[in-house]
Amino acid sequence: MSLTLKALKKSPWVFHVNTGACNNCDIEILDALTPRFDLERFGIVLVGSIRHADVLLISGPVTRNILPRLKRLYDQAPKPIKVIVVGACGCTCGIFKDGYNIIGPVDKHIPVDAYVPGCPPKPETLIAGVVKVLSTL
Amino acid sequence: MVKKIPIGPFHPILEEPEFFELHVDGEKVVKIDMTIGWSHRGIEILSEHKTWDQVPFLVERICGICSCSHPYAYVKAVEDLLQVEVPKRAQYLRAIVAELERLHSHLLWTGLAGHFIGYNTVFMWTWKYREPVLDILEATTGNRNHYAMMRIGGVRRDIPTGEYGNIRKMLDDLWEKNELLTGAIVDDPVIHARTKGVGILDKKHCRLYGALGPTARSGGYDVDARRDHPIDAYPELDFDVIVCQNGDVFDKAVVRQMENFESIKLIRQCLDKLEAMGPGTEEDLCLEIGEIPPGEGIGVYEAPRGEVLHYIRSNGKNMPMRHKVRAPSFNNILTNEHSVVGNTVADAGLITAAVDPCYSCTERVGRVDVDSGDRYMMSEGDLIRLSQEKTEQIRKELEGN
Amino acid sequence: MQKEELKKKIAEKFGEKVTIDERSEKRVYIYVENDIWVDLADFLFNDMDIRFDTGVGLDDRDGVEIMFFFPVDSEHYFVTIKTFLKKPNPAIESISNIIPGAKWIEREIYEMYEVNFLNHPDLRPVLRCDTRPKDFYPHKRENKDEHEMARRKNDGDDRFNEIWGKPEKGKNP
Repeated sequence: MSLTLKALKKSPWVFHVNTGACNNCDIEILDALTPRFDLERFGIVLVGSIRHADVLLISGPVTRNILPRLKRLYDQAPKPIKVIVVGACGCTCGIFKDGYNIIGPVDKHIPVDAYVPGCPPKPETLIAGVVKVLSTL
Repeated sequence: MVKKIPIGPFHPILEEPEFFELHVDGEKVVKIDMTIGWSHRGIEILSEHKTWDQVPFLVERICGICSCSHPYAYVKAVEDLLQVEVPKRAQYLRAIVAELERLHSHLLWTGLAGHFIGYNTVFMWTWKYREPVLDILEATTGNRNHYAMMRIGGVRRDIPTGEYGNIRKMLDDLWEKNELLTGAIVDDPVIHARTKGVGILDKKHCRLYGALGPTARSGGYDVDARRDHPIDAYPELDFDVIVCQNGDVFDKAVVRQMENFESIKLIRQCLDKLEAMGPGTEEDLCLEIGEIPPGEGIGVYEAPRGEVLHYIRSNGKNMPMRHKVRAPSFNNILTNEHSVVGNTVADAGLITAAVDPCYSCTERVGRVDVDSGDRYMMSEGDLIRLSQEKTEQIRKELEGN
Repeated sequence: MQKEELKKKIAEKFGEKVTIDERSEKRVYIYVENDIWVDLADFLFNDMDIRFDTGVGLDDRDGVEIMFFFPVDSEHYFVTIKTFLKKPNPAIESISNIIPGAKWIEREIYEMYEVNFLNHPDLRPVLRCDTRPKDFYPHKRENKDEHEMARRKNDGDDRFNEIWGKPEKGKNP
């Protein structure tokens, strides 16, 4: 196992992007980090900058305004990066599919490694998703 | 010399993307430009292509935190069009879920505000105390966040009688915890120094900008849709509208904390009434609603962030002809135009957060010197760090004294 | 401000130019002619001390209907002022010089219906700042079919892409 991979697996740093979601997935992500679920004990930390991140959590259907920013973010991310889509809207656009300002699910624009469906997914589901992604490394 | 600091649109810590451009002179903010619409999904158009009964599921996905208030305002708009009164039992059930939502939303904000000023203990504590509220919501409605409780003419499901005891126990625990939190905020000299007199929005400007909810009430502008435009069970319930006078960040926190007590009182009263009523039947939950005749209706409800307004126009078909949604943040974010100006950059993040919009910090913050063209890049983490460092500095000064 | 008293005052001041329609006990709708729009808003907001809430646009065959809400909190009712702007080129005087809180909602109505608010301090789209296609006003009646089509679209995005341009596929790292 290379050093990068090892570092990535032992303590994945997470960056979180909202591409037009309703906040719910976002607060559930935060919820997973606070005392009840406490993901931080596994070394999973939410970081402030994409340049520090190992895992990119994306929630929300991609809106027209946010798409260029999302692509730029993905380009700025250090590779290898794992992309996890959180919530039904990110996976399939969900209820917003027909909106005129919606430009398709996330995987239409950037490669995605894992999908965590649910509206919103419970923190347990989120943790399961992250664990599954890490176990593929 | 005026410099520009763009903040946004991505914000790693939470919630909606937003874009602010601070024009600063030294440390002082002289002007703020705001760009919104990053999460614009065209919900109003979508809603005009859904049947009347499908719309509540759509509108509760406008905002995950106000996911009871939006459907509430929508069903009130349709009921205003129909001129019907929903069954008593449904009224109390609606109030319970809506107030539980207010509790979890206010706790969420307190935690985040703590984080922004460098009090991560407050952040972790409040989010821990918030969990039981979510548990109760899951036990009573089936989901932690999107409750799907509202329906035109009533509610979708009853709260099982066996749950009343659990809810009361949770409320009693939360009352104590909330007292502790309120004490921690009100008595802490560092929080005083950091938030008092910061980001003042006075009564006059509250009125000019149409501020709503805790943002307005902290500035002495007394608006509360639950009292001003009473709906359902609220006229017969007893609660106080909390109003502070200074309009700074400290008062905004105090208003939210005190409102938690009022919400707990409201839920207790509703439970009392439900208990007195005994077990209900299907007819007690929802009215039979047939076709929606042509007409128009306005529905308002006080969401945790302020008054939500829904406007409905029907032309007799099975879908709304026009559905307008006005969320409180639409008015509240605009008030930043006034309240941020004159404060420092380290405070700007806190002030924009204090209206509880969905504060956005960023993917990156670039500091551009307009005159010389120098560009300093700061990560958004830096903005929070700047804020946290200021708190640390104040704490040291206070200890020194 | 009592409802009856307010209605009397408005009728006295504006006379023929307003039509007051009381739909129910808590909802008063006032139809206004275009030329006194600002005066009426000024009268309600400054003289009568009523809070400004928000506005709505509604597209019809012959023009755009706009409504602004003024809730009277002390007496628990809503005053809605309405006016009708004829097509083509609907335009009306902006009220945001009197009520700064109306700035964004007027920008939104401009963005959605192409209503021109005269003398607005900063009239540009508020929601879809830089990515919107030119001359696409989503709430306009002419675009109803586009939404209907988008609603029925399955995977064949052809017509949709024609309007919006094809999205680029992400490239694998």
